[in-house]
This record gives sequence, structure tokens and C-alpha cells, in this order.
Amino acid sequence: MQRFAGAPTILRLILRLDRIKLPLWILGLGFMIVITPISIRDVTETEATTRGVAPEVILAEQAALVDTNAAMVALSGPADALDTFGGRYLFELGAMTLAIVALMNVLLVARHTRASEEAGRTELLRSSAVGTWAIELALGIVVTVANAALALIVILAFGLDGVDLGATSAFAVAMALMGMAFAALTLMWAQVFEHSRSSTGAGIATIAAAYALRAAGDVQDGWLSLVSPIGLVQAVNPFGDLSIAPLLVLVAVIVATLGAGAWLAARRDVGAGIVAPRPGPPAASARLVTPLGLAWRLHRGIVLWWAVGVGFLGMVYGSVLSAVDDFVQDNESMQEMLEQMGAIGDQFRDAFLTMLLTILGFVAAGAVLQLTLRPRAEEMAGHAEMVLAARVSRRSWLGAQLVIAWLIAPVLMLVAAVALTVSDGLVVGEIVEPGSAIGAAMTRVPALWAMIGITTALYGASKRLAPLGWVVFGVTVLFFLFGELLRLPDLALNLSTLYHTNHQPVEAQPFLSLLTLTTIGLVSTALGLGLFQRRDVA
Amino acid sequence: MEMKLRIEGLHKWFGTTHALAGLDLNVRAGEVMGFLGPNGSGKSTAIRVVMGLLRADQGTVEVLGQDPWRDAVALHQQMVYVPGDVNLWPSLTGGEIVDLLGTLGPGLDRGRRDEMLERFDLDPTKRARTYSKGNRQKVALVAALASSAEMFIFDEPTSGLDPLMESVFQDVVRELVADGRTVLLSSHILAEVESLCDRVTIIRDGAAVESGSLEDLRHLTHLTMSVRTRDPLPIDALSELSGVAAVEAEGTQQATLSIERERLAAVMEQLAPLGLVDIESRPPTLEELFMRHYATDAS
Repeated sequence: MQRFAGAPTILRLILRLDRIKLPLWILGLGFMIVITPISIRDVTETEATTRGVAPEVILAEQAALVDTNAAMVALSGPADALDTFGGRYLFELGAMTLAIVALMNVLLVARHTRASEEAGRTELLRSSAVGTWAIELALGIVVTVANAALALIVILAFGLDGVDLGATSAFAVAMALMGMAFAALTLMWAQVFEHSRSSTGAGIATIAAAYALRAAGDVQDGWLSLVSPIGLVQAVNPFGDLSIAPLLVLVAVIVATLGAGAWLAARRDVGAGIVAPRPGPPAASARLVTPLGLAWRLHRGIVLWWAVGVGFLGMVYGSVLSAVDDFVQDNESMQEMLEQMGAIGDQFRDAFLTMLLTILGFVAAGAVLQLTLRPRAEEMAGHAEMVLAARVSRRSWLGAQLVIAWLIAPVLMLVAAVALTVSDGLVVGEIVEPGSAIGAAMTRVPALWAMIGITTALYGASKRLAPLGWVVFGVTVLFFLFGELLRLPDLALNLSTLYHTNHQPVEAQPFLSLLTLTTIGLVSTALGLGLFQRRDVA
Repeated sequence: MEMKLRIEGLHKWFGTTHALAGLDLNVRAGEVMGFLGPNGSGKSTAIRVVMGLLRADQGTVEVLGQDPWRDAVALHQQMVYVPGDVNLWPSLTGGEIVDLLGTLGPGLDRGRRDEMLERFDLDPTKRARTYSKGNRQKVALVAALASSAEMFIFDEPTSGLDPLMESVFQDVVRELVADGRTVLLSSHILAEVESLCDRVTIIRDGAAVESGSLEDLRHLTHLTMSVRTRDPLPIDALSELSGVAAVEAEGTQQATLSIERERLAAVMEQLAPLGLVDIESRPPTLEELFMRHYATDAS
């Protein structure tokens, strides 16, 4: 028992440190789980009543749509038992929810193992009367409780809805075991790498790999899904052909990875890893030592992740685009909504695409705003001071970073539009007018430029004002989405930058708004650069 | 005497805080000027004005004959700065940052860069996030010291360095001065100031309270005198005497007095009738000098 000495104290410490984070994770995931049966049953039964058929008929109709849609299967999981409510709920929750459960476990374990060790806190604990495995034991209890809580939420939510409790429990247990498997995997990664960023990164990469493997497996009905913990949960297929074997495999994965982790842990010192961190270049490349080179080096990670993000979202939207006509045909409220957006006759697809591109514009706006606010972060961190004390003018320091934001705006819109077009093409079987979505996406770019400009002007005036750029973003998104619902006056709607570019492909984009938005962007960027010359940097 | 840095009547407000209240500071060519003062007295603010990062609200600031606000970029070709709090980009390696700051600064001498890396015992392949505080400081120091700058501005550069590295820093600064460069050194480490600086300026509440060579400062100010007498010392009466700043009694017949130099004779007249047995007088140590200026109730 020596090895577990102090575990109760550490358990209380972990719960104290995570008293906000962990409940938020469970509540957030719990909300996603609870809302699924409620929303689907309501929509399905309403439609069944209006058409005077059984709800299962509606489910079967929709299942037929999914069956032929490889993109939706790749995103969500196998189209099993979709003619039952339970099966449909699991498909709606999909692989994405399971990946988020996995993420909760990876981050939970990473922050109490390697991150704590890197910060030197583990050293402090281990030098007191705390056994070798006390931290791991305490963490194991927390992980088990957290995953059990999620399982309980699934059972309650589905049970109250009235689907089969036994089948639901099989899924809930599988999900909890999967969460624990990812926790065990992260515990193993924490032994391997010396830095928490590497071990957290390895954990997240494992989730991505598990997600991708099951996507490939599900699309081809192959065995690849069964090497993925996420795929194993879905292979339980509780509402169709229930199979218990995947649960046993998950238990075996947990035991094996815990064993591997313990074996590795016995072979290293506190603070050290199995893989030593790679040394970096001892000298800077010629490209780095310019203001633009430095800005790119510092911001390229953000750019890359946003590109992956908008690309993924573009794929998701592309996968449902072709289904719009089928949905709309039988759905009058949807028809009305799209007609309000300017759809005439059979232009539903274009009207839907117009809305999707503007939503992708919101995401790209978030990305370029984050880039525009990077100079502020650099200033707050004390990095700006170092560069400005060298022979770099304020104009070139700030200008270099803004050049990146200005150029990334069209790049992100392009990535989103191409991903959407390709994914739509995969579903339909041929690429429909590739130029139209891409060209339409480009008309959103001046709205992004205007936001960069306004934020730059605020930052140039004062670093404290800069975050108001997010207010511009909030106004753009909220006034666009809810402006007509709230009956806001035209004047207020006009404050939403992307409202002015929400035209193509369903209707022509007025050239004057593009010109005005670009001018606002250029003039306010210049203003910001000018104001930045005049203020204190500290 | 050629002035490399001239500050006259410098004022700087942050909102209602009067951070610099008429600061005067002069640095001559080829000297090491020590810049001292308690925490929050305005040292770093003054240095940031000199670097053109903050704008002077009032007063004259001239660095190498130029205006640091207007001619910042031109000036930074001839001067380097090591901030007190060195914050590096966590994902870049030490070597990359040295090259970056060196190249963007007054120009990097490759041979000198490698020499400095070696003397400061710094591994350039490590990412900045893995460096300790002392090593982060070394990165900024190597970048600055390997440059061909004419003027060096250090804001508490050695607060995280070990004694060995601190002595390397002192050696390098002496070489710079021997080579005719000019240094402004803000520091709390008195031994460092004593061994490196030709002159010091002490700042409090945003204004210079003392400025001159260490030698002058010591002689211009109070003497510390230990006395032993045959008769009991009238401690209270002594501390009331004009020119006596402090009296510290040790028993009844022994005390340490801090006396203004010009009042020395008058004090001695009072002490003589008591039957002086022993007397020892010395100039104040640097510590005593600072304590007197740093303490809120000194003057």
C-alpha cells in the first residue's frame, strides 16, 4: 500500500483544482446528449402528425437519405438501426461527440500528469509522503467517476425518452470505457514525452487517428473501424444487432495501455521523458530575421489550424448541400425561410449555399480577428518591446503582421469553398459548377478586410480598445442571424459587415458594397498604423 | 566632455500617476553610468523613453544627438537594450532569437556571437520555453553583447544570473568600455555597481536625488563615526544637534553617529569634554548611501 500512500489527499487536490473545469465539461457534453432525443423526437413526431403517418416511417425515409451519403457516414458513423429512435440518436450524437468525450479525458489526464510534472508541482508532491502510484490512482478515480457520470446522463436522457434501457446501457458503458481508454493512452504518452505540449499533442493526435480510422472503416464497411476505440463504441450497435465483444476489447485496451504506461514509468526519472525533446536549429534562417518572416513564423500555427477548421466545416456543409432539395420539398417552413433569403423557383440549393458561405465567412472572420489581435498579444507579452528596440520601425512591425491577416482572409475563404465544393462533389458524384461557390466565397472577403481595418484602428489608438474588435464581430454575426427576427431597423442591420456580402450565388453582389467595405478596410488600417506611431508601447 | 545621453526635466504621466517628475540624467561618452533607485521609482520608464517606446510628455531627451521618439529606427542602429523582464517567443530556439534580435538590431558579428554563446555557456538549440529565467536573460545579453552597438542600455540585466555568469557579464562590460562604448546600467546589485560604474545617478519618485561619481557621493554626504567615551553619552542631546542624522547607542559609552561633513567640527566640540577614548570615522558604504536615499523618510 506504500505505493498508493497519500492518494486520498491528491484526490481532493485534483477535485479542488478541477472544480470548475470538469463540471463544465460534463455539463456541456451532458447538454449535447440530453438535447438530442428531445429535438429529434419533437421534429419527427410533428411531421408524422401533419402527414398522418407513423414516426418510424419518417425515420425510415431519412435513413434512406443517409445510407447513400458517404460524407455523412464518414462524419458521423455507420448508418446502423436508423429506423429506430435509439439508433437515430446515436447517429446524431455521432463520432464527433465521442471524440469530444475522448478530448475531455486526454486534457484531464495530461494536465494532472505531464503538465503538472513539467511545472515542477509533481516534484513537490512526490518529495512528500506520496507513493509512486498515488497520483495515478487518484486520477484514475476521477476519470472513472467523470466517465460514469456521462454514461449515467446518456441512460437517463434516453431512458426518459422511452428507448430500450438495456441497449442504451450497453452504449453508455461502451462510451465510458472508451473515455477511460483514452485516459490510459494519455497516461502512457505522458511517460514518453518530456513536455506537456508534446504529450497533449500526442493524445489529441490519437483521437484524430481514431476518428479517421473509423471514418475510413465505416465508409467501406471494413475492419478499420475496429482498431479505433471510437469505432469500437459504434460497433456495439445496441439498437440493431447488439454485440458485447467490443466492450471486452475496450477493457483489454485499457489494461494493456495501463500496463505499458507502468512499464515505461518504471524506467524514467521524475521530470524526464522516454523521448528527449528534439533540439532546434542553433541559428536563425535568413527568412526568419525580417519583420515579415518573424510574423509568419509566430502566426503560421494559428493560420494552419484555422485552415484545417474551415476546411473541415466546408466538408461538413458540402456533405449536406445536395440533400437540401429533398428536405425542402416536403417542408413548407424551410421553403418559406429560403424564399425569404431570395430563393426563387428551384434555387433552394443556391439560397442554402449563400447562407452557408456567409456562415463560413463568420468563422474566417474569427480567424482573421484573432490574427489582427496578435500584435496586441505580442505587446502584452513584452515581445514587441524587444523588436521595437531593434531597428524595426513601428510601421513595419505592425504592418508585417497585418499583411498576414489581410492575405489570410481570401485564403481561408478559398479553402472553405474548395472543401465544400469537393465534398458536395463526392456526394453528388460530380462536381457541380466549381467556380460558383469559390467566386461567391471571394465576395465575402472585403467584409473581413473591413473588420481587420476597424480592429487595427482600435489597436492603433490603444491596446486596451483593441478587444472591441470582437464587438464588431459579435454585431456582424448576431445582427445578421437575429436582425430580422428582432425586427432591427435597417440602420442596425447595415452595421453587420457580412450582411452586405450575403448575396452570391443566389443573386448578384452589388459592386458598390464591395468597394465601400474594401475602402473602410484600407482607410482604417492606415489610420491604425498612423495612430500606433503616436502612442506608448509597453 | 561629449554627452551620449542627455535628459533634462523629463516628465511622464500614466493617467494620474506622475511616473517621471523632472528627471535629469547625463551619460558621458565611454563611461558606465549606474542608474539606481528603489522599485517603482521610474527607472524602467526612463529607459523606455530613451528607447523611444514611450513618449516624453515634457522635457528634453537626446540620445547620441538624436531624438529617440522621432529617430527611433536610426538610433537603434547604434544602440541596444536588454529589458529587465526578458520575454522570449516560446517556440523559437535561443540561437534563433539571438540571430533575430542581433540582425534586426545594430548588426551581428558572427564570431562574437559564437564567442558570447561560449562565454555565457548557453545552448542555442533549446527552445525558449525550456529556458530558466537566467538562461532567458543570457539569450538577450548574448544578442546585445555580440552587436556592434555604440551604446548599451541594460535594465537589471543580471538579476537571474549565477555569480559565475555575473562575473562574465562584468568582464564583457569592461571590455566594451575599454573599446570606447558607453553603458547605462540599471541595477540593484551593489557589488556590480561598485565594480563597474564610473558614476551613478540615484532616482526616487521619478526625479534624480543624487548624481556623481561614487567617490564624490561618499565624500559629499554623511560620515559614519563610531565613538567611545569615558563619561556616559547624552544620546538624546546628541541626536538633537544640527548636522547629526542618526545616533545608534551601544551601551552608555559607545555610539555610532551619522554626521554631515560640514558639521563635523561642531559635533566634535560637543564630544571632546566627555573624554574620548576611541574614535573611528569612515565614509558611508554604498549600502548606507542607498538605504538613506531609498528609505521613504530620508532627506
